[in-house]
Amino acid sequence: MTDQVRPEEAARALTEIGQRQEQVIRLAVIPTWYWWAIAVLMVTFAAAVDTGQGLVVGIGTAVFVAGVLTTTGWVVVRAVGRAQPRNDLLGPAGVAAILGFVAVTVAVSLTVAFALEAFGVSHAATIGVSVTAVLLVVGGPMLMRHLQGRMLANRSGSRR
Amino acid sequence: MIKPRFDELIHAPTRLSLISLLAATEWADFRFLRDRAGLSDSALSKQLTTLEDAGYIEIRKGFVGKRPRTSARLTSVGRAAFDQHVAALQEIVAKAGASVLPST
Repeated sequence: MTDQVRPEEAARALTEIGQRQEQVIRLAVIPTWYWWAIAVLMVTFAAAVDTGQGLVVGIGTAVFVAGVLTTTGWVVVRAVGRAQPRNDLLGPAGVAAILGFVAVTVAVSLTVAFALEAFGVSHAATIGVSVTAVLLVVGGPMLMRHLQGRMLANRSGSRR
Repeated sequence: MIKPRFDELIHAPTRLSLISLLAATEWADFRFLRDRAGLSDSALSKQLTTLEDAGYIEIRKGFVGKRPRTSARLTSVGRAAFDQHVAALQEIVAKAGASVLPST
């Protein structure tokens, strides 16, 4: 049978394979709006905490929890209704990129927050969390693009 | 090292599309496969049954709330067959030279 398949046909089949797998990988990305939503919710929550008023903190907490659950739930449900990309497509470098992103975000956020507090800056929590929010909004989509690239490189039949 | 083996069952255009989608997933929803492959429910069911009978995929039926949900995943046998088929295609292309390299 192999002898009956012309090279052009084999090439077309490989292209089809690559494109189909790319369809799955392109859908696997956390949308940019999600990073913005989480960033806004975080800053709102921190601002509420910085007021020090019980009622405002309570409302801020409720909004934050409801917002995170709603947005995250939406993203998860949307993913469940489609397809889950193979875990090993990320590879060790992809996993390292995710862990690195989390580590940098946490480290920068804590450093800024503690530094602001040490210097007696007012609204330290809000400012500190705002830095984290910027990291998420800028770094989140960058991380997604990086992970997509890794998954595309690791799919079956890709030229490595 | 994957041993190239051309697989006629996989090479049929519709099944090639389905297996390629499944090869990139842990599992895929029936509607996702149907929409991506541009098939009717019955046509997709027929192709999935063929692949299941060959031991290439596993079909999972369950419920999300009260709604039935069917999903499919590649088995280890199916993944091995797919990898070997891809290797066979690459071998055919490689023997013919770079002029027909696919644009993956």
